[in-house]
Amino acid sequence: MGKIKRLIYTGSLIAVILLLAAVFWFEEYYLPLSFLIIGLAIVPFFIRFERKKLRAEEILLVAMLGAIAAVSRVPFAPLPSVQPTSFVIIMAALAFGAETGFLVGSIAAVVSNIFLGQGPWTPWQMFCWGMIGFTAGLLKDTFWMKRMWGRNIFGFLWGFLFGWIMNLWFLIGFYDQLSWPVFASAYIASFYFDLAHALSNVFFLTLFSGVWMRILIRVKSKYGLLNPEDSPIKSPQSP
Amino acid sequence: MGRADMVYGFSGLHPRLCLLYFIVLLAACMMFQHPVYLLASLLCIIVLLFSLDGGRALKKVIKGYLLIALIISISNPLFSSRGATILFYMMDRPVTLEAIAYGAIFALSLLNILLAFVAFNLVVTPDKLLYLLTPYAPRTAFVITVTLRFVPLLTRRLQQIMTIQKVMGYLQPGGSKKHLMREGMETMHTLVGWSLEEALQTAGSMRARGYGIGRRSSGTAYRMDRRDRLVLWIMTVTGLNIVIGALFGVNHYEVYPRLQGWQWSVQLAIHLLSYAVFLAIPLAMNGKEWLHWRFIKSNM
Amino acid sequence: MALYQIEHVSFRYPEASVAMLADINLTVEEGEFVLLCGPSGSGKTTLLRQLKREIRPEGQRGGEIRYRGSLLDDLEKRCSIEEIGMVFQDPDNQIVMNTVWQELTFAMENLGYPTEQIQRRIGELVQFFDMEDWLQLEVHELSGGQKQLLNLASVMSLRPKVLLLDEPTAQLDPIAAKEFIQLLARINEELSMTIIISEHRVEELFPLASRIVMLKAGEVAYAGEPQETMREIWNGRDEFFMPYLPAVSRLFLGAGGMDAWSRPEQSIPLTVKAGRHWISEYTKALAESLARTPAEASALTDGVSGPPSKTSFAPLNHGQTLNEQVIQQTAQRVVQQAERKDGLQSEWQAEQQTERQAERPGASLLECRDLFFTYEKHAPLVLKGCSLHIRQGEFFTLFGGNGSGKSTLLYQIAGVRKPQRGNIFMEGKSLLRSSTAERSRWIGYVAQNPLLYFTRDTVRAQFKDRIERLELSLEQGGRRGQAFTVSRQERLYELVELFELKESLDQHPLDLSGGQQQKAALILVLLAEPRLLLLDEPTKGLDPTSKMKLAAQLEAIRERGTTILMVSHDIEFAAHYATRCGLLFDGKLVAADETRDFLRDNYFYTTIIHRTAGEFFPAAMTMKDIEMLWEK
Repeated sequence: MGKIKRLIYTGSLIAVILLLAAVFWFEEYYLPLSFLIIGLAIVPFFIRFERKKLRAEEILLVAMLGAIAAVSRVPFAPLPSVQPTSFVIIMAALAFGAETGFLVGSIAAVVSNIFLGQGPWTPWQMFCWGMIGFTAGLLKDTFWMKRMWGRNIFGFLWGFLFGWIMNLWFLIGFYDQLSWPVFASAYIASFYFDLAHALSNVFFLTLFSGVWMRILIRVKSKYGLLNPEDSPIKSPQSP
Repeated sequence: MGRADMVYGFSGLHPRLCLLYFIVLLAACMMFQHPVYLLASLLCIIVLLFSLDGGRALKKVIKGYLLIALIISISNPLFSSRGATILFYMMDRPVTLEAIAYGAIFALSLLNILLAFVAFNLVVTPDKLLYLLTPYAPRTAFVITVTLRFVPLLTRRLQQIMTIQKVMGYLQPGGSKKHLMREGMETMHTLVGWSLEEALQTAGSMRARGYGIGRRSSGTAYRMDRRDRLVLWIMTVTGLNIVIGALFGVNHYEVYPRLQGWQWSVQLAIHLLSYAVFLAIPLAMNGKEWLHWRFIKSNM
Repeated sequence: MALYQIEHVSFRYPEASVAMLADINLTVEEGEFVLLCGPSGSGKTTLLRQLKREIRPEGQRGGEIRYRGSLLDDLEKRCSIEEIGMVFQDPDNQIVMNTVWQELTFAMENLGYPTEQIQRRIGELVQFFDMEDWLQLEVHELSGGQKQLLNLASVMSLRPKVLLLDEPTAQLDPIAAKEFIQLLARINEELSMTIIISEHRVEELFPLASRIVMLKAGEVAYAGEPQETMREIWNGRDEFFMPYLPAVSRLFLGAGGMDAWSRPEQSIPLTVKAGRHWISEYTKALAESLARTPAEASALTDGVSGPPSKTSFAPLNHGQTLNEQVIQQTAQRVVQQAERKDGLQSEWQAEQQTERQAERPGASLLECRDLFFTYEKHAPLVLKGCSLHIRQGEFFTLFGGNGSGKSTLLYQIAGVRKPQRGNIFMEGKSLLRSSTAERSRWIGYVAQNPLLYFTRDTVRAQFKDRIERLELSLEQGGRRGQAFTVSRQERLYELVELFELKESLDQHPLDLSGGQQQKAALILVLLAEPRLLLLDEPTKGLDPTSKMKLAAQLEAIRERGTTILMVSHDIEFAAHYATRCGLLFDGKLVAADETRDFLRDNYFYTTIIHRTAGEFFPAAMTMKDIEMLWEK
């Protein structure tokens, strides 16, 4: 790991801790502070992206994957509770690594919000989807991410975590006492959505992670991005 | 998204000023809990929305936003029992006037923020946002632009693929959820393979036209004109006044332990006036435009 | 100094066994308009890509390419980007930015031009390309033709010295293609810019080209001025490249090739106008000479005899005699005006009648009755009482301009969308009331873009998946539908043989060439053994060789009992192979007739041959017809 990379990782970790701390310290200015800190958590990744030497292919890869993640709802229009975006981001991260994973996730969030209208949730979504990609990429070489059950647990947990973090932004800002009942009732209210998200992650990861891996690995070699430490998933031979 | 209906008036300002205005406005909506301030902001934002596109964007979202605001204002007193004025007991918990007021204030604040974002989307269009981002993060702005270009392209491709699936008899109406999810993913497979393959050609076309050989320049230039400088001056004066006042707690409003009464002071009057002037900037600009066109029409 | 000196250039892709280019030698002078022709896979694209450093593919290179005297590798980066412009085939894939304005400035921004300079150049470009009306639009709002113009304009913004174009109009409709080509002519003419273009639209490009390069299997087969090259091909009896010549020129060469060769000052006509002029001059001159010596003429007539030929290039076996035949015939026509003409026509009609009876089994297959359709509630109607009748065993071609509702009509028949009013019957049974599964077995639809069909890693897996799905849908459908005489596996085998796809079965579908992808999509659709096959512009972007093959393959499919309904802009293709044609206009079918009658009655929508020689041979539609006439 390069020096800058490590710096950025620690930097974003500190930012997240600060975010949690802020919740307890600055009662009055929760909201603006939380936005500031979320921003700080996202910015290092983009600084690194700006500085890195990248070929046109790699930039287009990020853009294309981000666009794919953003439009992936379209084929599932008849199924309102199905959320394939996280799955696409996880697969992108497993194939192309943590940084690409973060970028794909957060750019997908920005771009879909450009079409649906930006709001105070934009940075939170950028953070959540970015983090799904980032963590998936970090863990891609661990032994449980190479197993189907491991990936499923990962997807399931993030399904809930995503909803919980997204609940945070208005809970922090708009309730005067952050008591457990407040959290609990918000999480109960969003339980159905979070469960649907978690289950669709599991469903997609179980059935399609092999196919996606084959598609993306093929792309990787075509783009000339193939390096030896590769493919967390032993892609099964096509029938 | 895309082009706002009105490119004159406030939307015609230099994008940097528009962005600055919204940053201050949003910060004010988040931090000021004084009911008068909140109401003034709400009023201004609604009028601004009407002056921007005749209230179309507002109509689209208002129901949902009001519902969220309602939920917050009702649920706060249920969870919080702070405050001295107990109105009644519900399920053995005291419901206080202060908690209700707090809920209402924050619901109003949330409503302001959400609506301010609606106006933001109308004024600071994506291309302006990207223009502003470019000097600081050229590559990020570029990637977002390219992604924006791909989204309609991919949506159209998805529709074409789904058409074929339908003709081939794979997508049948009334299929099970699992079947639909499976076929949805098949659609994605076709799209992903195809689009990533073709993006390689896009890369070729980028390199052929010199992408990556040096620092990029910009073909779009917004220039600060006299009007921009005047507005900037007004914004700075009023904005600074607002910040200073806020730092000294002029407009501080206490809900707990007991609702604060109306305390009038000279400082508060000056401060409120500054805030009102600040809020009125876009309204005045759009209003002037509106009058101008009405005048022309009546003279024709 | 020559602009490009290409010396002994060869190229091999990594992991490929055969070289893509072998020993190419060419010199391109400044201001030239070079047309690269040849079948797909002959190395046109590869050659073009060798000429610009930024887009050269990875692989093994041999030989030298010099640009203005210096080796391409030694060229300064900026210079290579600015002076050599490249426009690719697919209009969508080359566009990077989101709005027209951004795309126009993209190249200049990359090179760091100052803002004032960028704006000034845009001002000029927008005028030249006439883009004012759509300068502010987003890219996805443009038509294909506009997108390709935008690509050209963006490349032109750097003021290149040479333009490389790789089949830039392959994806465009004929009108947009013509506009694009006219613009290229202007660029070449007014700015003296060198143009090197690979393209199949020879009719429009031959008159503009100053030099023709014919490629075959990675080698230069012919290179030279258009007139020379055409004569060379004709005299060499090169049947392979003959379809790559403009129809009018082929007509001329077929009629008087030898004669013209003996008189080199007579240039070969390339356009309808020149062709028509030539025919009328000829007829006149001959009429005069024959009037003087009618005896000689009759003597000649007696001397001619030969079996009618089936192939298009039959006359080259006896070009001389044919030439005299036509002279004599036209002369006779002039002398004995009215009767001759009527005679010919009635003869034709008689022949047609028999042909019709042979080709028309008569039974009705599909009937669209008064279809009304609009995509959105308040949008204008796309179909306004459209009725269409397709008979069993036909090859029906539907013409129509952009937005005439052609694709919409196909969608209605294929069942993608239901009409608001009207009904569609398949052998008397309403399609609107039948299930999706049933309908998808009866009707096959092949879209323009074959990439829409691929979901698997190999072509073989894709076919297997298709068969499995078909079996499944049959089981679910309780095996109503038709009974299959042969198993699907056998059918697949036959189809793979027919479409020559055996070698490619284990390849990834996306690694196939465009033509092969189209064949794979056709097989996927045909595996369901549809009664009716809907084709959406199957000849778009195909080279003449592939077109002829496709026609033969479609014929084989038709013989097995599949009726074909094709939507197309390709009049020449339809004239050769379709049995009936129709014209869709303003959401209605305004004309439908046997191909020959349909084309004869048309003024614009007819073949080049008819436009050239129609006045003299009213029944002639294709080269074949003219030859048959000459045979008489």
